[in-house]
Amino acid sequence: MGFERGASDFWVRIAAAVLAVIGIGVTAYLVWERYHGNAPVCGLGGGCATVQRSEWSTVAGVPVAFMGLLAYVGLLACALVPWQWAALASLFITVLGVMLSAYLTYLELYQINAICEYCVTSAVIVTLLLVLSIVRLTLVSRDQTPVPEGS
Amino acid sequence: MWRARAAGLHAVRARTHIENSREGALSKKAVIAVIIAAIVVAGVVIVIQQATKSSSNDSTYAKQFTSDYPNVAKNLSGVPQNGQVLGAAKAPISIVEYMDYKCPVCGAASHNLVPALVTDYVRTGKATMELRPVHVIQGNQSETAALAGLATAPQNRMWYFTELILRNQGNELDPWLTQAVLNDAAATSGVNIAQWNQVNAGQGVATQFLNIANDFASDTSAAGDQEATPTFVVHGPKGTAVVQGDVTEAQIAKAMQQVNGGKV
Repeated sequence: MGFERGASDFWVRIAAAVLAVIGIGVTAYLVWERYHGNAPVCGLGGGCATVQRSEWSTVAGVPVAFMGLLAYVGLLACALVPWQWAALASLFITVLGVMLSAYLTYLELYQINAICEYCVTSAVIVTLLLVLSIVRLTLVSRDQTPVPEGS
Repeated sequence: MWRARAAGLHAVRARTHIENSREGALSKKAVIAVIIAAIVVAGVVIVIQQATKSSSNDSTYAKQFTSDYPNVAKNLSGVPQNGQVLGAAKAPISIVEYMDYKCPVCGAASHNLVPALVTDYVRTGKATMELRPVHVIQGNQSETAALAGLATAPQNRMWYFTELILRNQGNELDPWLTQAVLNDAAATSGVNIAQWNQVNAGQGVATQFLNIANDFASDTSAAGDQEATPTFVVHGPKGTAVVQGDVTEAQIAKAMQQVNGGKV
């Protein structure tokens, strides 16, 4: 049973690592294009440049895409280590990421009037990572369940 | 003996149970604390973003655009605008202005030269003027503004948008030309914002911008000049002339004569 739990935790962390790497790719591309002054290539609708150039694309001068990149690097690090604090750190980053993604999606829909497919992709990824963080914490807490007396 | 051993074993098991329970309880508290911390941090980030956004000097530009709009409109009203081109299509001479939205000499030209050219040559049907925004000034705001300016062209508001910005420029080295300032300029120019956003987000303006950059390079190199703004390229039946920098109306008139067989 312990082996199964350990194996489940391993695969959850692998899935999280894969999603974090995709997130790193998406955000790194946006950061790259921003610092080179290029408009991101946008397949559907073409709102990426509008969102990327909007006044909401930075927080105190720091590009949101760069903050996302740091978050995904942190999530990748959390996925690579099996420790309990990494599961908690992963939960912290993903809750923060989901909340900020929801806020940014609201801005895209109602303030900027443009949708950036990279931002939507990132929002989906961070939401999936939140689910994986919860699953991982559940597995960690099960491993800590007290052994029943007499067993 | 065996009773003592069994009791000891039971005590160890009980102690382990208590420690495990405590660790489990601590984890739940930790999870709740982490979630609350994340929510608080998200709130702080949103507040910081709103605060830094609202602390910008965007509203100053909105006021400047509004107060300067009558001057721009007085100069441009009644003159046909077709995309980037101002003036009657049948005019024999075309004056192409390569400009950068953050270039101070371009700003000076919008005060000192362009109104006179519009009055004397465009309004009279002798020439057309065409705006071609390029990226010369360091930083990415010039390019963003160029794309935004080109996106106003389909609504025939590019001249209003451009003159408002050029005539109300901030410091060349400051990041004053934000998206909010562009939005204010577009709104003051009477641009339909939804259509503008749609065009601005498309690849069309990006391609147009690259084509202009290529034309700028070829036009200036053909004349043996550097890629500097403003550059006025005057086309006429007899050829092409290029005038750059802090240009006067007399220099443009001379270039017009040169490309039009001595006539203006």
